[in-house]
Amino acid sequence: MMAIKTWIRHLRDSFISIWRNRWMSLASVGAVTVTLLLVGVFVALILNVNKIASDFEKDVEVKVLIDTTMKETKALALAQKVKKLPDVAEVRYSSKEDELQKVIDDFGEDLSLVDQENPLHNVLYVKATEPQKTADVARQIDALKGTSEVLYGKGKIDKFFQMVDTTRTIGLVFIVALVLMAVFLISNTIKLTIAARQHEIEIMKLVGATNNYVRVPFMLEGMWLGLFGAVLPIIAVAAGYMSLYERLSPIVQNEVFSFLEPTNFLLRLSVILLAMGVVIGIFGSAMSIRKYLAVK
Amino acid sequence: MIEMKQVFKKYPGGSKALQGLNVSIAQGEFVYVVGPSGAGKSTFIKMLYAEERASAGKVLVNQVDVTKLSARKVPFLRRQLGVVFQDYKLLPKKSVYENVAYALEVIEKDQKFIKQRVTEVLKLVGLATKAKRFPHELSGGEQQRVAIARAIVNQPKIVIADEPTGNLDPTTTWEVMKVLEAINAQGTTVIMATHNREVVDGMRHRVVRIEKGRIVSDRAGGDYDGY
Ligand SMILES: Nc1ncnc2c1ncn2[C@@H]1O[C@H](COP(=O)(O)OP(=O)(O)O)[C@@H](O)[C@H]1O
Ligand SMILES: [Mg+2]
Repeated sequence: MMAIKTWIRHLRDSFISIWRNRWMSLASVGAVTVTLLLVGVFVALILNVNKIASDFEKDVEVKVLIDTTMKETKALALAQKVKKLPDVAEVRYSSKEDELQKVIDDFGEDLSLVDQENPLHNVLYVKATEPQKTADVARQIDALKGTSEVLYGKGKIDKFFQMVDTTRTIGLVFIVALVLMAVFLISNTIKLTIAARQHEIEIMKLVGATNNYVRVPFMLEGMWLGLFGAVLPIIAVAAGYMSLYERLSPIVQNEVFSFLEPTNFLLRLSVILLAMGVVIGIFGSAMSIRKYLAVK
Repeated sequence: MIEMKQVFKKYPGGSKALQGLNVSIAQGEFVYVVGPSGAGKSTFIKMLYAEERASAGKVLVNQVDVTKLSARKVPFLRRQLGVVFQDYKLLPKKSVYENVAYALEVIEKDQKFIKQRVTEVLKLVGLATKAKRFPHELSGGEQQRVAIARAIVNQPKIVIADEPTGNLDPTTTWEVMKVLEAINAQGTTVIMATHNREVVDGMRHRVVRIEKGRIVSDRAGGDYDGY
């Protein structure tokens, strides 16, 4: 264990070193800033796509048109039957009067059908336990007596889920690639500063410094550089997200989906970026210093 | 106390730098190690602070066999020695004061003690007024005196110097030699590799002459040529 005074010295040395190597420090902070900015934008994008996708997923339901000949009491019994089918999460009954009211709400009263006898069906709205099971559930319902038509946008929905999956995969690959790029960039920048200091490390060891004693100030330095590098991206991403959120939210207000609420989301994103900066900084300097510490 | 028994050193490239070295140096001695370039002087010195490991033989420093020392223990060996080099090896981004203080920070001494001791040692080498300067602002002789101050700040029993006057002009050479003499007068063992004839002949001490990795002469109060 190192004494407290030694930790204080290491902290002091890490700051002095950042200042005396200020151009290299600036370059490292710049590298962290650029990569974390990209990572921040991507994470914000991906998480929102995820959110929207899951909003959509939750909204996927099967619409079952019940035979017009079937009485309402029988229709309700059918609803109970559907509810007992495997993979069915939720069944909602909507009478043809309810359906008509919906149409009127959407299109206005001046529709000719208002005057005629109600031509609509009684309807069941069914949700599967998982969105991917929707097709299965629809098929089972179709096989039941008394259903005239089962609607769920067959191929369209399947394609939509496929697209969401692809987007997620691409996004994840992008983030992983960005993080790797960040580690590479930072370890290279720090390696540059350390190559310049190889001589220093050799001298430190000559006067009896242990590997740990040499290593700690460099790691602290990497940590600070990563931390400083995270500040600008956090501010930029937060400001950008809040202004976009304010502009876009009213536009999509009536849709099925919404964007991630800023306060909570940005807090978490900031913590993620800070942690990434610190880990990247420490990891980068640890990687770049390793080979100079080998003793014969 | 330093003792070498049948020490051989073969470098990976194949050159046989030491070929069966035997020597014994008592506490408080001042020993010149002389010989032509490539004779093995630096290799001999490097054996002592474990910069290089012997291929065969024993190297005892204060009763510890350095050849068997694990890498983890090397720093602790070095804390018992003061080492001085031809190229000074000062930390370029640290001031004179910080360079000397570093050797004490490494062994976790208190701030107050460090301040007092570093000031004292800088006075001893005549650099008290230049504590805040950086190495590149000093002359070669001054830089070497800083290196010596760093080597002795922890009051080691042994100071090892590899051509400490190699880069210095005659005047500054004598400044540095006077400091080494003073350290030796206080009871510190000084082992100095050199090929400076004037120094060896001018300040008489034991002279160990190495040629082709072997000791060819060893005389108390001898001259550069080994007589
Ligand atoms: N790191 C090394 N790798 C390979 N050969 C070396 C190395 N260091 C020294 N030598 C060789 O070992 C021999 C002795 O070198 P050295 O001890 O430096 O002599 P001196 O200090 O007396 O000039 C020389 O032939 C030199 O070329
Ligand atoms: Mg040499």
